[in-house]
Amino acid sequence: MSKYILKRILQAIPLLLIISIICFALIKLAPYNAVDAMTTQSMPIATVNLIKAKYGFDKPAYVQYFLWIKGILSGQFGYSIVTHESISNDLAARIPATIILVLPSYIISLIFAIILGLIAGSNKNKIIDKIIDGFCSIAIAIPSFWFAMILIFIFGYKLAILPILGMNTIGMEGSFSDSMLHYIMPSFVLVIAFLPELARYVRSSTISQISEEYVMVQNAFGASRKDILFRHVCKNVLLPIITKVGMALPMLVTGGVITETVFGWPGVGPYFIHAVQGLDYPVIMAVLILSSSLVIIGNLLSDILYCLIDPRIKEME
Amino acid sequence: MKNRRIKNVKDELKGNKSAILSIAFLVFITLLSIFAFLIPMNPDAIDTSSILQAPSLVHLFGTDELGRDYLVRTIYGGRVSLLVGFLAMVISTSIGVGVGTISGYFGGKIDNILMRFVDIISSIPWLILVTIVSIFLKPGLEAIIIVIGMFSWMEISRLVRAETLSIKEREYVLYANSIGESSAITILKHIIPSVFPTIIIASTTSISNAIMTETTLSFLGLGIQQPMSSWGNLLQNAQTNLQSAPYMAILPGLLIVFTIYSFNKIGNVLRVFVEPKIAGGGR
Amino acid sequence: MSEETLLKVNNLKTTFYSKNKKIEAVRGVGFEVNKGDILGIVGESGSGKSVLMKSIINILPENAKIDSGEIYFNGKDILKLSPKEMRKIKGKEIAMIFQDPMSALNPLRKVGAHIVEVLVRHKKINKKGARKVAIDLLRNVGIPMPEKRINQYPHEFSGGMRQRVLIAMALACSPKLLIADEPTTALDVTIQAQILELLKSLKKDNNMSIILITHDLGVVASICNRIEVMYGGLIMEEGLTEEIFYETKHPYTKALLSAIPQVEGDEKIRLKPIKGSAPSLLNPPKGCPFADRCEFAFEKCFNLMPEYKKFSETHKSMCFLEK
Repeated sequence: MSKYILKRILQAIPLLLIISIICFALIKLAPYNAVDAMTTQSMPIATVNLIKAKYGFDKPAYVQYFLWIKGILSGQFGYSIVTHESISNDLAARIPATIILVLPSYIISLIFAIILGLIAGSNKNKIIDKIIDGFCSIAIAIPSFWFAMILIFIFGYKLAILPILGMNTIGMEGSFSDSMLHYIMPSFVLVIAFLPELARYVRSSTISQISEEYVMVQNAFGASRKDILFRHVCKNVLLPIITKVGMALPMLVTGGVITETVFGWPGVGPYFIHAVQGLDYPVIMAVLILSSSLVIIGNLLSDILYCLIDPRIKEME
Repeated sequence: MKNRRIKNVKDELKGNKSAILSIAFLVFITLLSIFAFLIPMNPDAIDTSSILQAPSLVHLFGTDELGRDYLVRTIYGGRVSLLVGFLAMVISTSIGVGVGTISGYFGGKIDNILMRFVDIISSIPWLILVTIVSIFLKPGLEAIIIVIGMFSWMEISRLVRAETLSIKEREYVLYANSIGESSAITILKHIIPSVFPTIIIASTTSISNAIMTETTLSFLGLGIQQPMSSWGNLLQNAQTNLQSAPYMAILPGLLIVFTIYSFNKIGNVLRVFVEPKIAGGGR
Repeated sequence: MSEETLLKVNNLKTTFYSKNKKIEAVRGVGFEVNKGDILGIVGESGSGKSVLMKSIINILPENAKIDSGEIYFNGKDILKLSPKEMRKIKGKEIAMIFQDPMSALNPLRKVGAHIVEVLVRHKKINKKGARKVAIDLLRNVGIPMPEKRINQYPHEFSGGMRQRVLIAMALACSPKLLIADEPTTALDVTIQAQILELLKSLKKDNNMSIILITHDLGVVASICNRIEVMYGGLIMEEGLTEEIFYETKHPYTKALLSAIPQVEGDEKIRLKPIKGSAPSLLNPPKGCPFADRCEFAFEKCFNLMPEYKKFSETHKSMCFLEK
């Protein structure tokens, strides 16, 4: 088993490398770079060259790449073209805000998805299943930012009971209840955004487990429906969910891009979008390499977790 | 066999009211989009005397902040969104089917390289990928169609590859090979027709995704640019007027929801085409 | 119904319903199981034997319904029981073992957990006590090192071993009736013999009756004392093993017996397969189901359902033929 884990880790490394190379290539291909941000047409060539040298732009491409990678691995993501701020500092401030929003929302969504999916799957084609599945079909067709706008209109404007912008009201940073009020709407939007796909997944997993022979055997030995569902089907259904959850790792950084933008939540979302709108390439690439790495690492973690938990794989070498 | 499948779809449709409604809705808005030019109103006609009016008998959907009739703008916006959805679907399905069949049919090194390539691109979160690529192109209609089309084919290619792998072992393919039929013809004549049902279903999902993505990107300012309207940038505009003119957000949004829902519904119904239900029980 | 009758099935009809079609799998079956019997039910795939068993123990799929009939177990009609009451019987008084041991166990739960669960449910003992009993059960079915193997997962057992585990599970609460649905079909021939021997000895030790379903006449000959021959959802012939093999009355049974390859003698004897195929249960024929494959059939056979002719106290056959 440890051989398998090692193999997977070794497979992931070249993938990470290739992504980083692509990323770096994109930076180099960008029509506008850090030096351009600092120089103008009228500056003498000598000055421009000095600036280039200062930031290492005069060195050959592969050297620049290694320096860049070295920087990234030590947490240095470079500087924003637009604000000249350190990207690492910005990310360090913003990632926690995103995590605070995304993580609990995802967990809540997952819990509901499991409950709804199990209920729907074990009552296939009955009314409750049709309701749940219908709800999922509709929810999946709703753009999350539109849903956000509707909520803002109802609760923020019409009823005026919830704040519509940011994490806190200015001046009330310490207040927990104020933060909670700000938290409700963006979190709700995310919960509804994550829910349908997860619930559908649980539902189809439940349906396929219930049609397995061992369920009929359990029935033959007098197990009640409750017994079968909670003691047997549950476990078997939850196992593949682990893969889903592992793959959700990158969401900790990019899971709420649009929602955060709509609500002005100070996370990675608006930071990235502003960078895109302002063509701030270093920031864009920093987010790119960060999130891609998380995707790869997330998949790796899923595989390893699965391997550790499924007794059938444990035995295989 | 094909007749039984078609019959299955018809049976499924008969009982399924929401499926029929979905098809009707899609036919309706498609026709509306195609024949939009027949509407006597100009979507870009600015009329500063009637800005931000709520829906009324004169302006069924109200007017926007420049006094333009919102119903017409929504219809033209729908036309753009549907066009983007459709064309992007065509591009991504073509690439996906191409890559999938070649990868599945030839196997070996080609398969390895292609699938590695798919893995690499799939490692980038989709929104990030699409956002970044759109920077490198001049924003606009062509750009967004290309961006969405060129980066949504991965899932289809995986599906098609899996189907191809199972079909290529079937006897009629082996027979074709043994009589020396060229690979290209085998793929076209045998593999693709068998994969066809999967392709159809995948393409409905593809259109839904494309429309959702266009909406999102345009909302962020990265897609369709004004004065051309799409449902996405209508919503972007609506955001600034949300408090005074909520209908500007509600109406296009509802249309988006119905459209995506309808395409998904059709996809579900077509699934019956692929997996004919077995009547009765087993032993 | 005598003191000796454990199970009596009367005119049972089970049908599968789908959108606009129905498949009549069991079309009016009646038989008895007496205490101490090993009753063999023989038939081709599609004869309805599995559905018959699933009807008895009420594990039919959602789209199947028992249309009519009674099933008396120890004098009570179990078809009239509520699901809750029926659950008390399933696994405790009547137990079943299945054809495919591979998929019958939950791959993510230890083998011991399966048995313990049944014990806790029906015998109301605590988990610790149940574990001890489970280890003994595994030992009794011939699984070596039961203390160790009780903690293993199903995939760590071979097919034959898994079947033994299922037998242990079935025997956990000393059921009065064991239903074995093709228990050896998925196993190697050598293992088959072992499992059958095991069933025979367990029956003696536990004083229970067995219904053994199979399509293999060889299996039936080796351990059953009575046989029912099923075809097209109905019982064609019923009798003691000797009567069925040596005084065969029904043409179908005769055909089955002559389709068995004979190993004796120097002469090469041609195999006699039964021509044609099983009747469609979607539109069952109104006469004898075997008529169109029967070499003795005459016109009456196609139009009228034959009655049962009794040849002895224990032997009857559903056929118009006089012999």
